[in-house]
Amino acid sequence: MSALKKAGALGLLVLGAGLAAVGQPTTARRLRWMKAELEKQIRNREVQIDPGELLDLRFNRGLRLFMFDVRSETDYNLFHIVGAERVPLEEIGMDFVKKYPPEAVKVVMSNDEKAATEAWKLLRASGMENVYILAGGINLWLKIFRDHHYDAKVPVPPDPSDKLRCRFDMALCDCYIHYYPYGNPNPHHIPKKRKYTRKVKIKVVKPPSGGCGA
Amino acid sequence: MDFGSILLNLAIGMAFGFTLERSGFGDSRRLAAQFYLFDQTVLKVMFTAIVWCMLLLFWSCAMGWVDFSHIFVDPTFIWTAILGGLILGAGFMIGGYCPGTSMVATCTGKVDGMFFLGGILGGIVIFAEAETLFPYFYAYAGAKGRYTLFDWLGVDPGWVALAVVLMALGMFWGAEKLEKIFPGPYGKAEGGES
Repeated sequence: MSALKKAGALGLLVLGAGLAAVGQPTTARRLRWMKAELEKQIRNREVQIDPGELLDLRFNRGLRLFMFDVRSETDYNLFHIVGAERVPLEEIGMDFVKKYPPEAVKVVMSNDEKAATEAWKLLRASGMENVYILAGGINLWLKIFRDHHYDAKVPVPPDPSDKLRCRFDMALCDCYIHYYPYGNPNPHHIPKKRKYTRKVKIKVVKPPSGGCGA
Repeated sequence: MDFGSILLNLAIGMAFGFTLERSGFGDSRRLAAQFYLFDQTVLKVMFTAIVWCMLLLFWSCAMGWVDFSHIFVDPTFIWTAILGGLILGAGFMIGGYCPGTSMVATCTGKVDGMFFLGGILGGIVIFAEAETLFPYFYAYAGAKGRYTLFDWLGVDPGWVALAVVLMALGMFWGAEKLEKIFPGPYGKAEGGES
């Protein structure tokens, strides 16, 4: 065997062994790489969408919407927006992200914004596209649609305690949502249209394509 | 597709075709010799390209330059792949070309390459017309979607890459041995040393 072939074989072995040792980037490693970019988007409030915009998205038949509620099971059982899926933070990773079509709009929410922001960072680092945060969280949603403060402002900076500030007498599942209609408000029945700056950009995510004809 | 992408595709296609031709893949005798075991150039060239591509891709992913989820992976259809592989393998042995190499041979004016390419086009038309006869088998047989070796094994892609490198090196070593054991009809095959 020539020296060139031996060198080539050794090179392949070293690269292969190195790749096995280094491994593919985990969500945590990708989060470190993307930290500055994500922090900037959060700071400039580019991804926090107004509850009014979420209300309109829920009734937009031209797109697919997924809502992720990252609060505790107790808070979720007490109240959640109809259609929101409870997602514990520890479940978020690349396997979770694969389940959702990239072109769909996703909105993540917590009581205020703290946990939702953490979840948003994890989702972005795991490769999720078109994902936003519900500005002011469930607390602002309730203030607007339960207490009818249609002009309530998004608290900036958000409340760091991230606690549910409304009291509920009982936990109701989606079947009894008529007890809590503000979990599924109809924009046509709301007396005052809420003004907001549209932030959701519908990105057309082209599916990768290709093939081999060799 | 924008004009830049078209130009890039054209440049990559030309480079690919040029490499195949320069590797001797425009000659059906050399390609068919792979199956008679006396010239393993096809295995060595193609496997070298695959291994380098795999290592470069996954190193790029490991360094954060490429997102693997944005890379197209052919969806897996196990049973159709087995049947298609058998048909392609039989056609490769009989005709001496695979689709890409028949294109290379046609471009260099080889008549057998032109006939082979004509056969491919005819086969495509027949398949397209007959596909409605077996839609379930075509669309669902062993459908696994985007399914890779590391998904199946549940390990980091790096370990699979290392295993593929070891397999490639073992096959290169074995291929050289086979070339010595089977000298072929003309003694040592042309360009057997690669």
